[in-house]
Amino acid sequence: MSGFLFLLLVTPLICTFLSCVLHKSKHAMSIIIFVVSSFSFLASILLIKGFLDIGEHLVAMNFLGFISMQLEPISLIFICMVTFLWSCTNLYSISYLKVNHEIIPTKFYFFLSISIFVTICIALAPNLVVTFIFYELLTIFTYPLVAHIGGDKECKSARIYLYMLMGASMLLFLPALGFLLAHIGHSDFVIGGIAKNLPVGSVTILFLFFLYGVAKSAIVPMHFWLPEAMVASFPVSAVLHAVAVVKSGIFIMLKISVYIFGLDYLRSNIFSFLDTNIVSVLCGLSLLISSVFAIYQTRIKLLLAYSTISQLSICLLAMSMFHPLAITAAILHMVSHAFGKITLFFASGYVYSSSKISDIKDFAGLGNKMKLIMAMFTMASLSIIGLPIFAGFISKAYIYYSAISQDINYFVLAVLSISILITADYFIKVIYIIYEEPKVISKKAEVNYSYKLHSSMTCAIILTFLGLTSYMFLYDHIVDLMSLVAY
Amino acid sequence: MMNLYYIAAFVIVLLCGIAFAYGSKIENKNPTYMAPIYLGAAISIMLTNNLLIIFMLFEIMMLSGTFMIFGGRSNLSRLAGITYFKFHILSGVLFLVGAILYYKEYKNFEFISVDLVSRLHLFHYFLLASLFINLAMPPFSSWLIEGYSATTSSGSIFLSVGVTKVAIFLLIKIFLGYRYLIYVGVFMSVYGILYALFESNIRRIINYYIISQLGVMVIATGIGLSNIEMNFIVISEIIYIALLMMIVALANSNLGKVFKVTCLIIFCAVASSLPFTPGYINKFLLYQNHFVIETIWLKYMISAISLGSAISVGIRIPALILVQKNNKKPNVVLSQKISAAVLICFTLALGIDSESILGQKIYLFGAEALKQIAIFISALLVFAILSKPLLKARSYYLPKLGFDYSILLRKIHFKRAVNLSYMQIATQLSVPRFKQNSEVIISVAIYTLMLMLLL
Repeated sequence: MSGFLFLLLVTPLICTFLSCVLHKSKHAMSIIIFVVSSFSFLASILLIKGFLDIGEHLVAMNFLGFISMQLEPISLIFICMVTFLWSCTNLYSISYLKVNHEIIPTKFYFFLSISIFVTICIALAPNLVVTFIFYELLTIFTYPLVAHIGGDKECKSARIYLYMLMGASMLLFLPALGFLLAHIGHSDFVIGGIAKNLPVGSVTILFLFFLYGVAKSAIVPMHFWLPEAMVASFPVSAVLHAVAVVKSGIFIMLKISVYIFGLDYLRSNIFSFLDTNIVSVLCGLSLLISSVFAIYQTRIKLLLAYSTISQLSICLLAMSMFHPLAITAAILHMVSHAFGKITLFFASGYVYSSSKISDIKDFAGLGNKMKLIMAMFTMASLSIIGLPIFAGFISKAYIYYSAISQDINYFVLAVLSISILITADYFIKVIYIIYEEPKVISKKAEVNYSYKLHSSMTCAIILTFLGLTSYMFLYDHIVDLMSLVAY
Repeated sequence: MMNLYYIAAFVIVLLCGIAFAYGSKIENKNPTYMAPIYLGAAISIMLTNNLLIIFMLFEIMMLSGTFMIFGGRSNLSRLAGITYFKFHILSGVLFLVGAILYYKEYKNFEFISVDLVSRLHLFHYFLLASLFINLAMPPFSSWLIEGYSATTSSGSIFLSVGVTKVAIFLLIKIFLGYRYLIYVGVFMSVYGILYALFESNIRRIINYYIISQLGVMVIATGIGLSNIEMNFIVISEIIYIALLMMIVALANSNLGKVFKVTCLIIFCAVASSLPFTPGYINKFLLYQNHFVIETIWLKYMISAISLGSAISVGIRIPALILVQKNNKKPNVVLSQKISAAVLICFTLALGIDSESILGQKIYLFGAEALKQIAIFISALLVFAILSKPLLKARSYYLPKLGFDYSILLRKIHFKRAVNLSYMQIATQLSVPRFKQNSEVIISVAIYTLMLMLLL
């Protein structure tokens, strides 16, 4: 068991080491890193198996004898998702880096691997202070990836990225953490929560401080860093700004509500009116505002970014119901959205690297030229909308189910339904343009059209797409694992 | 047992439609590939009782229907496809919420018919709203009018028998005998007839006729005919609406004289529900019902609807086809002729030998037959008097009812990003429509009036 943990933590570190050592043969480096990184996924699967054998809710572990770590179902699911999609991204990068010469492979792999290492550490942290430290480290290590190309625009965006995330965590997350430590004395993750005797009325304010302080979860006033971060290259956007970074924000919020406050305590103490608590209202507003923003976007990356913000708000909305089924629904949606969004990013990265297209209006006619990739793009967007047999349907149906399971939560039902309609609106626009016959091909696109088959990219897209379609067999296991969580 | 008749009807239409599309040399054949999926999902809905599976099948129908409309291969058809997609997403969401609320109530997705007399549950309202969108109730009818006329002719044959008929099937299953449906049905059929009267495009007229016929079926559901009678009405509707669509599609090609006259006579008889056609049986079943006999306004309303559809569709479309100038039409292909003939045979068989399905006596020469013939003759007289304005009628006499829920979002969008080609087309289509604020106001006013009447 501790061997698997060692393997899990060491593989990203080996990858960082390899990226420094093998800088002379770039192609070999990317292949070797892909092979090594896939061991981390293996390790996380074996870790889940070991966890099930022990049969406890919270398992304390030691790494190298003195660093304490903690395993529980939510973090195991999170680690499994991140490591799988990270190895997919490494597969994707093999030919992406071959085609796009502006990216420096050593720098790229070094910071990507170390970010993944930090993300895994966030998942394994035993208390909120350690979580906070790794949270800050994740911001710092992803900064070079955003400012990778080093132009003026990139540096400016990266600065905004750093200021937003650091500022929010310093001004809101840290004071809230200090308040918690001052009143309780420790911040360990304990079954049922530790915050029991807080001053009356402070629970709502403290929770809102956490909600906005963890700006990585991109709730609307704190979301500006995510569209700015889209200046990074496609694999980085795919694995970090659709999966690892933003999902670690959601993950920390879930941990705080389950293991710091405790669901029952939150349910009875958060300020609410008409059976709807203030957190639901804020998340719902964030969801609607970001969905409407997404309609305006003309660049594919920005559209995907705003879509990510709205889908993250759906996770938070599900969490804000504060009962066990809703937490499971939030986890399910977190995973399903990760698969869908990474497929979309990979497919649009494929289009970018073959023809340097990034405007949606230049996508016209691609449906007939890259049939396989565009079919997967279409199906992934149908999954994000939430149509049956795809992953998005299962998670959204589960959120609906959890919204009515005890008392019917009309607010969540209404907001979720409206958001599905708006999502359908902006994705059908893209699908329409893809299958349109181009009237006038813009000059830029005409010059650069070259539809070579980039095999490793195609393989990676197929892999994530399989995750998308096989989710109906997968989600049962996630629900089983989540049923082990004690609330 | 009744489900088997439904399946038979769908299969007949599917085979005839494929045979019809096979002959066409001009049109895109993509809708034909989608049709088995579309009608297969429709057939599967007949075989299941599980609300969640029905929802999934509805979504499959939605996707395949969207691609069928995209098969029209023009920008108009793509926009119509998007409208279709959006409306069905809306109805799908409502259906899913209804199904989940049902699950909460009964701990099971298997549908058991609930007594409607006591009170409606919450899930009933969601299911009803979803089915109303699938039935193209007027403010939500733009997907039907634009979608069915934007696709290829064979595509419109498949589409016309699909989602609306399935929705009626579910309406019968869930809401049989819910009296308030009568008012909705009357509104739908009057709307369809009025708009068909002021429309010049033949394909759009027949779409409005579909809406008015759906209205008649909703009336019948509200009255509460027996289950077998209701299902007979829907099955005959599936067959003969497909026939009417096919005849309208054939009007674009050069038919032989005899065949053309036969087709037009059949069209006239079926659409104005003369005896020996299934339309007559439907009217007969309505006239025979106790509730209709007792409620005088409804009796006259049904006669008026019959008169209206005879004028606006039954006589007007053949007249419009005959008035058309015959220049350079492609010759009709044998397979198209055969498929039309097969459908004519089935339609007449349903009209003549309906007793074997219904198991009750139908009077083909009784008072009702005389009434229908009298209605038809008066319709002929009205048409003869008003033939000039009726043949030259244009659609701009009436405000267009029907709105897109995303219209507000689009209006904001125009100012920001006009460069998208999708948006340019959207501008052409929906801005003139948006200027008519009256349409929204009228529909809201009608609904408030109806609500006030009900309360």
